[in-house]
Amino acid sequence: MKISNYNQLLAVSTLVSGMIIFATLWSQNQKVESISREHFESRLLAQTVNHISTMSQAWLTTQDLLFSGKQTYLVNGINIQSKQLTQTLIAIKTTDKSNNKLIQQLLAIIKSNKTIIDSFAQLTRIDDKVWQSTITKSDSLTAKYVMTLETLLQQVSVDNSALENKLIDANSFLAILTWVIISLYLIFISFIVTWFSKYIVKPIENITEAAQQSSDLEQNVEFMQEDAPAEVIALSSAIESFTQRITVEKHKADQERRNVITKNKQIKAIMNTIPCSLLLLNDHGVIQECNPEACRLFSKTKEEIISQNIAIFLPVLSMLDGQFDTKMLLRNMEESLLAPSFENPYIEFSGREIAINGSINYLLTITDINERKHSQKALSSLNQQLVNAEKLASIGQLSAGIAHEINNPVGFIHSNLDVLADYITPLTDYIKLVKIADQQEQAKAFYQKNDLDYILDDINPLIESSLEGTIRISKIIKDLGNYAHVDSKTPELISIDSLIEQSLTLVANELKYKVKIVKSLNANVSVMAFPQKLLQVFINMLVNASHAIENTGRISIYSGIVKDEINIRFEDDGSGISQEHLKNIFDPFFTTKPVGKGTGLGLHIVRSIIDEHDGHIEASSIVGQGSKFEIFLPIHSAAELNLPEVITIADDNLISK
Amino acid sequence: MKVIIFFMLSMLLLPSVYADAYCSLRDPVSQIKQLYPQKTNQLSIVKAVDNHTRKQVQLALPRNDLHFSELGKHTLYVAMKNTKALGYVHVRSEQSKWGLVEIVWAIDKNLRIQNFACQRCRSPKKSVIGSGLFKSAFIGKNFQELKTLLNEDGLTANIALVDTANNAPELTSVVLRSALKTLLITDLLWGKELKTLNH
Repeated sequence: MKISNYNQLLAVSTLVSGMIIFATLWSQNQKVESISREHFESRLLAQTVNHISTMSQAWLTTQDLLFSGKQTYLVNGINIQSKQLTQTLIAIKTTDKSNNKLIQQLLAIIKSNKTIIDSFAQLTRIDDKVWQSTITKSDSLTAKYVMTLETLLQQVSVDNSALENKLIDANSFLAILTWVIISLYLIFISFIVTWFSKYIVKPIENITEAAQQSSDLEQNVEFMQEDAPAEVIALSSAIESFTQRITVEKHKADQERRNVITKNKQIKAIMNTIPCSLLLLNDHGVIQECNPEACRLFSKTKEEIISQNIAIFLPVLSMLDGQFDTKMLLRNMEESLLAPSFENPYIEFSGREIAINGSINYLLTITDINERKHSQKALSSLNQQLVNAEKLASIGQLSAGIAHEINNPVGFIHSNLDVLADYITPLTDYIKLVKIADQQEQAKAFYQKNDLDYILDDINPLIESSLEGTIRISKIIKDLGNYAHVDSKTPELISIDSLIEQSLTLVANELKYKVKIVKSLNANVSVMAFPQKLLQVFINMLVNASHAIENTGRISIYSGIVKDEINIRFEDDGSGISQEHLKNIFDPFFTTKPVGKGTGLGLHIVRSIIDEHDGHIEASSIVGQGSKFEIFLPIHSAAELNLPEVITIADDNLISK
Repeated sequence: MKVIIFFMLSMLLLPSVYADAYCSLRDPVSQIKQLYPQKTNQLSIVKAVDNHTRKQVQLALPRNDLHFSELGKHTLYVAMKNTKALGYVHVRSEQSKWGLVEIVWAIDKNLRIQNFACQRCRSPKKSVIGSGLFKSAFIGKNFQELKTLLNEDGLTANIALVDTANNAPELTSVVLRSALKTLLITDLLWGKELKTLNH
């Protein structure tokens, strides 16, 4: 049965028992009320009769005074008393016949006595015998009156006592009945409570107890209650299945908790050991959390870091108006500097937006790149040295050819100078003769004899040839000097085509006996670059092409603009490079040349220089047909290179020079 | 000599005294005859109950004040057998709820109750007064002995006396108060004359 049914049953039984209790008590109370009313009327009658008795005392005493004192003026008073007694007796309302009979007797006696008393008033002279006989008559009547009155009083008193006892009995019965009913009701309530406790509360207590056990113990707890109302059984069943689900979920949760703990430990370990600083920032850039690496980086304790604005440590994250620059924060692997107060300011940071509990936060990683910066500087220096060494090596390789290229003009300049030296003597002698006025003829003869016309015609070509030779030497030396010269640290505005020409000058001796140079230089544009380095690239390209050609061949050189880039192409018809080697040709120390013939750094340096210029190089080759190297350099101005204005001015100065 | 003169005077004054010092409603002569059948003659000693007597009664019997109508002249009868006094007769009217109750008290020469009779009473239980058991509770007792039968309220008879009256407590109390007043007033008012008479 359901608890609701039990409740209905309880409600109905309570209602019925309540009605029975009420009806019983009400009925008994009505009886008590009825008896109480009767008793009240009886008590009132007794009081009235007592009052009549008291009045009668006065009435009789007054008569005695009349009799003893013979004071007849008392007759009128006695009659008044008689009248009052009569009225009082008449006023009595009683249903008891016996009482009524007595009252009627009393009224009759009073009436008779009045006749006697009235007779006293008629006496003109007191006759003792008549007086005494009249008193005797009166005494006889009043004695009867007293007896009747006492009978009435006794009867009324008995009736009153009987009613009082009856009222007491009724009250007692009502009290006993009330107690009995209350006791029965309490027993009923106790039974109901006991029953509820056993069949409803106890099962719930069992469930509660089981539930409390289940919180402490891992073992399975029995919640099912068989001897209980339907709802409790259903509840216990539901709790049982719910608990089982909870147990399963708890095990899962425990496992997840252990996993979380493990993960937390891992994360903590990672946080503590990760070689970069991790900071959690709120949307105002205030630091919420940080790892030990951040403390090390900032040289501060965690307490000193937390709640500080990140801009204190990383000014770049603060905009000009002091606001938190989230756009800057969200950059990836951004190199920057810490505040000037930091001794090692080089850092690299990355930021990500992260939502924690619905609010936007930012995770900032800062990597200390001071060491890398130092390494980069060192590497850059080494690389520069390597480039220079390679350049010097190439200069060494080219030196014989260059010397040969210089010797040629030097040779014909020397020859020209020898001829000119031979020419100077006849010319000076002729001038001397001419200066002497009388030896004009001799001079003329001398002129013709020494064929000064020829000499004079030959001098200018000789001088021009010599000057051309010196210009050629000067250019070679200048190109060599430019090549040998170490680049400044800032790029310069240069013409790619003229730089290619310079490279051809320097390697001319290498090429001219076996290679036919085909040039198509159409770039016709100046770019910001490091000229010596690009010159080294071009020389390397040309020398490598020359080396690829065993006997004779052709090297095509092309320059032009392709999609905002300068495209420089070196193409030879030499032996070519196998595909196997083609992928390694830019690796350092990779060479196919015999030991001692090549350093293996040439193409590696070429690519590093091209990279340095933000360009790229592509190589393709077919064995037996030749190779093609294409260099792409971006065309950008000084502003695009983010150069300081002063440097641009310096470049302009250089250009003007 | 003085006593003789006193008696003589009393006798001479008897008719008038008799008329004025009538202590009861009825003539007690017949009752005296019943109480003292052997008497040959009687003496009447009339004396006045005044305020002094009233105060003495108040002292001896608190709450038993004499009523105004009890003040004045009263007669004590001496039952005589020739010249010898047999005893005294004192008639008292005691107020009750039935009016006045007249009792004729026979007192011996030692001022003890010798006998008594009801002369006038309206109580339906007046027959109690004539019962032997009730009478025996009074007869032979003097004032002090009778006073022990009074409750502490000074008005009602104790239970021992009431038990002799067949459930008539009020009438018993009236009779007791009447007896006490009778003996006290007899002693107070006529004690001196009675001593003289007995000597």
